[in-house]
Amino acid sequence: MRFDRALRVDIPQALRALGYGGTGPGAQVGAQLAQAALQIERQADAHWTFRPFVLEAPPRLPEAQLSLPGRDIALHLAGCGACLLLAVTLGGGIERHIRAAEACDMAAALLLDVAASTLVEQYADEAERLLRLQYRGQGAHLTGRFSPGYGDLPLALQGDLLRLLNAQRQIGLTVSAGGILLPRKSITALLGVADRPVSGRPAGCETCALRARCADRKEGRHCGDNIHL
Amino acid sequence: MGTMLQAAGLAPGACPEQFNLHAPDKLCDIQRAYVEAGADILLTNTFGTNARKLQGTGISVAQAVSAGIACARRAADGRALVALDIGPLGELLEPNGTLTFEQAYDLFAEVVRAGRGADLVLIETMADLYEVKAAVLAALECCDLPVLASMTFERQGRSFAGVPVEGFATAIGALPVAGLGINCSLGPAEVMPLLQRLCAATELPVFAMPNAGLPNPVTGAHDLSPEAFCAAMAPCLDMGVAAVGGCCGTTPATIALLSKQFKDKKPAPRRPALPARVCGSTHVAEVSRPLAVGERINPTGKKRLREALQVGDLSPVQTLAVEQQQAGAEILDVNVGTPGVDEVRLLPRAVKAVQAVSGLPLQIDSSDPAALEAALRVCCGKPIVNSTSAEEGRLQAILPLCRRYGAAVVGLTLDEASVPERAEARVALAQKIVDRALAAGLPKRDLYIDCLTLSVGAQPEAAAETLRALRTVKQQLGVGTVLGVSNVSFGLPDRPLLNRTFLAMALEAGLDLAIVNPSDEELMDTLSAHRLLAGHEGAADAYVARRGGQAARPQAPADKTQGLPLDLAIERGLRAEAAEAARALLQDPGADPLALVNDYLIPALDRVGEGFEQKTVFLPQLLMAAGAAQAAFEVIRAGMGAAGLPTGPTVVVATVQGDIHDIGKNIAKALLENYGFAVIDLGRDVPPEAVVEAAEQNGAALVGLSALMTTTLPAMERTIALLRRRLPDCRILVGGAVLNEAYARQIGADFFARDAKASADYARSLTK
Repeated sequence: MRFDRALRVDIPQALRALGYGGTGPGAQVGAQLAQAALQIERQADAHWTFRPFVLEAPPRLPEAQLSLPGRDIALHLAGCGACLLLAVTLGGGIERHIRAAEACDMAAALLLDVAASTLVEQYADEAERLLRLQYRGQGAHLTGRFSPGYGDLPLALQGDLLRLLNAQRQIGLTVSAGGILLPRKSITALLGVADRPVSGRPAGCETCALRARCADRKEGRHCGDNIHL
Repeated sequence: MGTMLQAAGLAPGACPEQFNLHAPDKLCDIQRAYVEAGADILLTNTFGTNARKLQGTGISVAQAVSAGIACARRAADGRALVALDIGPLGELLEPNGTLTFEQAYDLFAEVVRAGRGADLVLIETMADLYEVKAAVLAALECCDLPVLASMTFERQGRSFAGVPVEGFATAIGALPVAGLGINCSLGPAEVMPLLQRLCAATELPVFAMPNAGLPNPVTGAHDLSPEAFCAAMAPCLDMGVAAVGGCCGTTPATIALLSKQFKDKKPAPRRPALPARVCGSTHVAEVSRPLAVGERINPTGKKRLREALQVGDLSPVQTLAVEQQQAGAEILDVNVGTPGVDEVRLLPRAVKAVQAVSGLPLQIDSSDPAALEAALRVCCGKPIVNSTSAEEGRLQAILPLCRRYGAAVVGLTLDEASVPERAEARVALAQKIVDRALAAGLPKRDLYIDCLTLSVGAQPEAAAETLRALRTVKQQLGVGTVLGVSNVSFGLPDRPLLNRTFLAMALEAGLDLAIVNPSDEELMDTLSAHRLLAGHEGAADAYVARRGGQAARPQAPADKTQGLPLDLAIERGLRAEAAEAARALLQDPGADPLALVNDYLIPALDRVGEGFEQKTVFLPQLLMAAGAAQAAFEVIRAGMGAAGLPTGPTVVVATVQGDIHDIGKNIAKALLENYGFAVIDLGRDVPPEAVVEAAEQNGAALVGLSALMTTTLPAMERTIALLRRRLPDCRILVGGAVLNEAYARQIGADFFARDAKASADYARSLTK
């Protein structure tokens, strides 16, 4: 389904992702990013879909006969009796737009790409907010989002999540043989549902597949703070 | 069907084809219920049947399809036709995904070949025009059954992939299919306006299979009862819809009611007045007003484009596509014919490259029928073929291709002898082309006659004769017209003035497609003004948007002597200023272009690079500086004349197989070009063999590989291993967020570039 309200790109967040921390970006970058954000907002066609499943421990969705492998997802969903699968996408329209920019102006392409990455996170936040609101009405509590690729939850799970969500039919979202969500500016996630407040346990670096070779980690940063090109 | 299978015990997310083999009786019972409800066409349970989706299930395509057809036959028992059901592959095709058009075709072809025992083929729930085309071509070429095609749309009438209803009707309706439909999508009420649009956009029979309303996200149930569904389907009769059915959430009860409601009723006759249309992957161009066809993707007279094409580098083609679209082109001509190029291989690649960056319709331009066919196969949408002539051999080669692949065609009014001087003789040739095209099965609205523009410099009467022929063709033959405008001024001073004046005259004589250079702003102004003055719909707004708030264009460029120095313009990332400053410096009679590069460009880039390393400058500014340096570079290169700038060593760059993240690679490429390297960009998802081949053919000193997924690192490793084996002297640098120095060494790379700046530094270190 579509989102009821259109979101604007969080410019300060996009700037942080580009590395501009305390120092301002300067007028030129600021103006170009604002332009890029506007184009992405216009081209984005954000959709989302979700589906609740009963959850057993160790984490398993019995209706779907699907086990959720790894230590991190088990910790994250501990104490939850159900689990929500969530998928969010900005749609395929922006992809060609970014590619077209890449053919003429790499700076513009970079800003478009970062604006889109920022916006899809915002839409995932929005979907999470709507779900939280809906479930709170039923006296239930949700954990935060946990996506394939976080910690030791394998990327290979994407295909199962999308099948269970019927995501191609519902929102046009697919996964490539290499595990890449397509359209690219998309997010899938699991959220635990419990009858008491739960925080979940976001994945840290300890179990991350990239632990040994992550440059961010060496510099004391977390990959959530950064964009990757 | 899916609804019923889940009720019969299919787990969510499980493979429905297992019923064909392991529970045929259950499946047959479900299907029989539909036949008993009155269904005339029964779909096989093969929606998700293809080699990719069945991977790991232990079921082969041939098994699933033949068992699926056997079940349906048994259930139909002679009372209903059996349709081989084909759904989307589940993976996105290029350019958004990694599945190639050819792979998609092969996957569909395997299903069709196994399904020849059905009565017809139904391709459904498609969202991507390219995927429908792959499926339809496979069905048309691999069996003799009638083929129906159906897409799913959102409320506004576009699919998830951005295809409008009219684009579907235009592109797929031009292929020899038996009917077009809309299925899935939404409930019948929401689908009705889209059906109306489909009925107005095709002469083919139209069918409709909407969902039972909208789904409840929690339960997955749809909200319409069979009664409500059927009531909402009622308008189909008056609209002239030929067949109705249901998709998600509909049941045998729905079909029973539907059958009662529609049985023995005759749909209203449809006689849509179709406008001439062509389309690309997302844009539909209606030729009800004159359109601009961008002519710049053509190597004739363009040395750099020619050289790029000769080494298979299509990035300049993409740049030209985007620039022309931004400048207002509505169709893009694609011509890659030049000596030393294998057009049969290169033209389809060029078509794909353009489609990756533009959704505009294409005009495929070649004199080689084999190249045209190769390009037509992979073209998404409905293109124009440029061209046939009145020569017998050309007509026989070209017209069947246009029919087979659903293309419009340009007919040149020349024959074996030459271009006739007199208009009457050209009109006679046009008549011959039109007659032959109609006989070959092409509709009149898909024909465009080119009465040929000759230079008035050579023959004073030339333009007048062309216009006389054009007017007659338009009035007497009633077909579309096309002209290459700029030939008229060849050899004369102030060509733009002659071109735009000739354009205005030709438009008034009835020109539909003007082949022009869209970056000639005044010429495009003339087109815009003509549309306004001729009273075309929407032309006034477009004219005001184009020219509103502007004075007439200044006659001379504004005084720029106060501009920024070149190095400062580059450091600040100001393209126009950098180009202007380079131009000013070159005007000095003693200027040495090479010194400009070494004294201004490189030091400015180095300073920005240092700032980047010290984190006082960030990636956007680095790239803006690179863009400004490139703009200055182009000016300097143009100033060098035939000699050209010496080019640095060749670097081949690619994103590895299976990966489609290419921004990082493209950033590195921009910096490498700044420092004078000849970069050959192979794009994304590049197989190891292609990397080695390009490096070998071009004598590359360095290969740069990029990967952004843990899942695609093995492909990087394979590429490196193959390079090492075949080209032991070639250096290899790798980059991407999932790599580090130790891992890069482990997989055999020479250098890990943590960012684009490091790539350029490493490449430069090799030349010292």
